[in-house]
Amino acid sequence: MRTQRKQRMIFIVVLLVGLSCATALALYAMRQNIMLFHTPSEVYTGKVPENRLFRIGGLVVVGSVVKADDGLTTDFGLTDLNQSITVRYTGLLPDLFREGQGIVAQGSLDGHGVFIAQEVLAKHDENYMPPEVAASLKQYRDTIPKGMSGYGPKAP
Amino acid sequence: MWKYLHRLSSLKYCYEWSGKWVPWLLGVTAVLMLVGLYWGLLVAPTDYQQGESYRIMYIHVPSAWMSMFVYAVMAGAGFVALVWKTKLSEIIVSECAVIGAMFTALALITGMLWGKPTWGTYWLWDARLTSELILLFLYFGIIAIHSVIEEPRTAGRVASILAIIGIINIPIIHYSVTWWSSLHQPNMQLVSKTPSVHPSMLYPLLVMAVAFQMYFVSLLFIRMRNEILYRERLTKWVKKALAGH
Amino acid sequence: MQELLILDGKGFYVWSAYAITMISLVVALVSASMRKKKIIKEIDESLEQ
Repeated sequence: MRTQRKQRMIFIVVLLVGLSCATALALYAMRQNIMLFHTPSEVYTGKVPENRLFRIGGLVVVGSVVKADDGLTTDFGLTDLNQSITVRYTGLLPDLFREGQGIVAQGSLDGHGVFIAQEVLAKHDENYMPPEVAASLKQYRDTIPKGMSGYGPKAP
Repeated sequence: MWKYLHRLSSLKYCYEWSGKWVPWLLGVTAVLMLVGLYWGLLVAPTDYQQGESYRIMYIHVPSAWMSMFVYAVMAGAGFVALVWKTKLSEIIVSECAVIGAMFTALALITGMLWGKPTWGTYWLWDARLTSELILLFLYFGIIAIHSVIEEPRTAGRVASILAIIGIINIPIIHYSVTWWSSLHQPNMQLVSKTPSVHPSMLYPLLVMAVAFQMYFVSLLFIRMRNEILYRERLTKWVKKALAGH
Repeated sequence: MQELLILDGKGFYVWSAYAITMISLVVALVSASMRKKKIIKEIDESLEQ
């Protein structure tokens, strides 16, 4: 009886270890497909699909948002802090869209290196705080020398 | 310790033991839930970035945590059911599947209602959302086994195996936002010198998390006791226990 | 009160999320408690036969 229990236990553990390995390998092989978006750097190195819609993600470059005369089309720079790319989108942007904010856009490249987006979604981070705290954190951050600001959640 | 656990695994003893706890658990759940709701909806400050829609966090995050926690409990019970072949652990597996499915569905629905005002979309096939949906299907699969296989002991064994295999999905859900790029934000850093949630918002969240835990235990005990009664309906002790009614 | 319901324009999302969650939690609890009565009735009936 005892040894039977032990056998069943070993069987389950072996089964789980085997399955985990198989799953890990499968997920590793599929990682490109599971990734939700490409980065501007990948656009430069040509790692993005051609003739097909894809998603691109990054931060909206501060000071790059330009509204066209029609009031609906917006051009903005998108960066992964390494490379940046111009994104053009016609339509209403989500509430959380702002400079310095993470966004994910779906669309494709035109011939001139501009990403024509059909959909723009705003990403937000895992930091939650009241506006006063965010403001004082930003003030504090502005008064200390650069390079020391890695402490604490990111200010807006 | 082992003797105590063995006694607890007897259905009769477990029925009597859990019955004493249910009213207390329900009371604690109700109090915590009301405190958490009041704190989260009315007292906690507005978020600097998301404004008011972040308040969905107070139900979304506990539901999502519970969807994974209940699965872990279910898989653990499944392991015990397969190795020691105790009836009680089979009952826990089948009851956890129903409760876990509810928490998963709630996490998905509240997540969608949070996604629309913040991201700009209800749904997107991102790694976190997809793996959570797979979790829901795993729960459905385990529930379905009990309606397909009539004999409860056989059904219990098959359900336990599926529960154990599906545990692989839990680390995938947790790390999905770390391993792959996604729209869903990264996991909260709660246990760190600089938690990513401000204390004024964190405390109501923790109250809600404990409330959800207590709710889970209450509902599990109530459902488990029903199932014990039903399975043991032909035994003497059940007839005796019910004679007072 | 008005302000609380509208919640800065996000009221629909926040309140429906809370409503769905709380209703589900309560219904699950109540229906589980009701089931006990049904089971007891079933057992009683089988005893009488």
